[in-house]
Amino acid sequence: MPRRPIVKKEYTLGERVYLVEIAKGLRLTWKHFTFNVRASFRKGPHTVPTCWQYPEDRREIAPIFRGAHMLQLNDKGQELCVGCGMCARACPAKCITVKRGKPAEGEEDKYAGKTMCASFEVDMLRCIFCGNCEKACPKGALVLGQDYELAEYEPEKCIYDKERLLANFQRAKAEGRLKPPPKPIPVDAPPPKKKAAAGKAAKASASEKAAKGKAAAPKEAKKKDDKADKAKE
Amino acid sequence: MKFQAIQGEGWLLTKAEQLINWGRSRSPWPFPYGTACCGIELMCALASSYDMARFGAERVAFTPRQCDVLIEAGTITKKMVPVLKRIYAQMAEPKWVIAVGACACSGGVFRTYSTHQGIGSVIPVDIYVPGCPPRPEGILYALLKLIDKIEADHPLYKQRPKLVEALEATK
Amino acid sequence: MADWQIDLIKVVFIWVWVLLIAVIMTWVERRASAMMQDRLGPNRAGPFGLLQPLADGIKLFTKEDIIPERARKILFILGPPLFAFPVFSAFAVVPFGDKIVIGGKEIILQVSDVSIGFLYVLALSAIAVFGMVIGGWASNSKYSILGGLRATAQLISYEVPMGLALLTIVLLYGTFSLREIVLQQQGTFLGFLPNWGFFKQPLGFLIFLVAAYAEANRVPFDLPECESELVTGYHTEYGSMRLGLYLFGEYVNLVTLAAITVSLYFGGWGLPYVDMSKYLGPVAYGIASFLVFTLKQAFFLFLFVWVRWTVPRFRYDQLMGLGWKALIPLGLINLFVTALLVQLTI
Repeated sequence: MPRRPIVKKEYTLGERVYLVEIAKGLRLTWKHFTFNVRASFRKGPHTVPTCWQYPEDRREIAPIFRGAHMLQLNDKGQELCVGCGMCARACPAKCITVKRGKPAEGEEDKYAGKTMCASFEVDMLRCIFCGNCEKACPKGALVLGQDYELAEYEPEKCIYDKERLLANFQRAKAEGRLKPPPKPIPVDAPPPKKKAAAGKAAKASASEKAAKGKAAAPKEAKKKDDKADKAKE
Repeated sequence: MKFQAIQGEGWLLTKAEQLINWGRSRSPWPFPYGTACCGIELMCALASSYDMARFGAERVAFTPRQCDVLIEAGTITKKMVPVLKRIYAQMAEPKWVIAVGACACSGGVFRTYSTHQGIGSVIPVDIYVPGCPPRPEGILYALLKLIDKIEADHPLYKQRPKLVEALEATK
Repeated sequence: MADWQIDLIKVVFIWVWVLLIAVIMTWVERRASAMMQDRLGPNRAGPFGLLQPLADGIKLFTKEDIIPERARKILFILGPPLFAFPVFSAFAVVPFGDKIVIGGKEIILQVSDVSIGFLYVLALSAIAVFGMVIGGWASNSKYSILGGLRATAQLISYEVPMGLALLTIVLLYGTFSLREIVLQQQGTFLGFLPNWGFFKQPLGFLIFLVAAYAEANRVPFDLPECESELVTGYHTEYGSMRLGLYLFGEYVNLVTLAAITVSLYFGGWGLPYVDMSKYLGPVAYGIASFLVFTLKQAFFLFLFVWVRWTVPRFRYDQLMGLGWKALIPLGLINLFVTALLVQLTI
């Protein structure tokens, strides 16, 4: 790309004296000042457009925001978590501890699956809110909600046990801030199987890899469809 | 008035404490100890969008002698621990510490040879803020919780054991 | 009422008034600078954050007082008062209004009308420089020393252009006393302009204003105390009320400089084309002149805040270059031209 010629511009005497520039700057600052002073006297929480006055004035959070965890219930009110521990395996910070257990005799209809989690602990102080646990969960039970006010006085209070995670879900449901189910990724049909010829070896291996990738994608899409169906149930 | 103040919470003492707590909680000058990514969110909390100056935290002091709140935002490596201890020691009483972010609270995802696993073992922390990084509103929520904690403090009443001892000695 | 009692009342009044203005100035600074930066300043402590300075004061009073172990104790303690009290006392010669008549006695609204006027103010700001450098040096920390030395160099080098601008004022009005200067600024000039020093001495006003910003350690000249450069410079090691005295002294310095600018260049307590003493009774006239002076002073105080958030700060060599290589020649040119004009018109 041709370079623009370097032009060495000397400052004129007017620019060196700088007074006109200062006056222009003062005018700009004055405009901001009067705009914001008038804005701050208007009624309503969000008057100055660039300042969100937390805690009264909260900003809109995107629906895919990854906040505090919650254990979801399905529409019948049954716990979705089966205690498989996939989330604990997937967590990069190793902050989830899951113990699988069998539901007690009379409580089988409290749980959607055949097993349940006897204890489920998330150490929020270690969590990096990546969302791997949410993606790894086969039942769509563990979900990162929209709660970001997580500060506590003691570190022990930041280890969320199962009750707290369920309570998070109830609170989010009451406020109408449930996470929408993840959208299934559209996938093309896999290409037809080709016989690997000598000259087309590279192309064939490439198409094999593509076929593998696309074979995994329908499985994932099916899994997500499962999750979506279960969450809808 | 004197006996009332020592034996229980007299009116003068409580009013004086309330005044002092009010003054201290309405102007928490922060020391932005931002070492890593949480420091960016801290800067965002101090900037125009989520103005922390509304709570009186306007004068961001870069010297520990003048600040009240040490906001520790970011990973602390083992090399940094003596520096952190020194800065905490240089701060003037009364002082508070907010540990912002996963790395400050517990080392976060970095369970390595060089990262110090949480500043709670080095300096006394008042508020822990989980998040990686926490939203600026999360940091402001922590500041609000700190303001509540300061308002519930008993700065004069802390001297009570010494005062009782002095009273017993005069008997 | 003996004379000394009236003077005592004036002293107490000025003391309270200057303290009040400095305190309100902290609030104005925070709110106005916030409004200019598209945000809101303190608005939780009291309505519109008006009690914020009170909260700051209470907090600074109840903080632990630290004297670093290796600091020179006596000088460390001496630094802040040496800075704050001279700038406070400089307000004694400022005429904040014309006379007020109470009980048949005419009282001029000025604590003391010494004949050396603003020379007294210059002398006191020179002592205030000592407060900065002693505070910085006694702290025994590298940032403090650097900040203190930079502040000193900056302040003494900007006292020269300030002195030159003031010298031109003396040439024009023939007196050092601030009250006489204000009295000579009533009426009109060239028929339609008010007889203010600003219209007679535009270059002198500019030089004085720039030198005043440098004397007050305000942006664009606040290198000795800004944060990104020197960790707050000479008040790095100060906490609690000593810091309070430094910060307070800065605001009082601003108030004094604004008052002097108004007295010398903007006609002090007089309204431009109106002679208020004809329309108002004696007591009302005194109060009205006081209000006019305060309004003009408020404009200049706001100008300090306004310029702070408009202009970036100078680098140290640019700062010194501006003082010595630009303002002093301009001041001398101003002096010669004014001398010539004064000689030709008398």
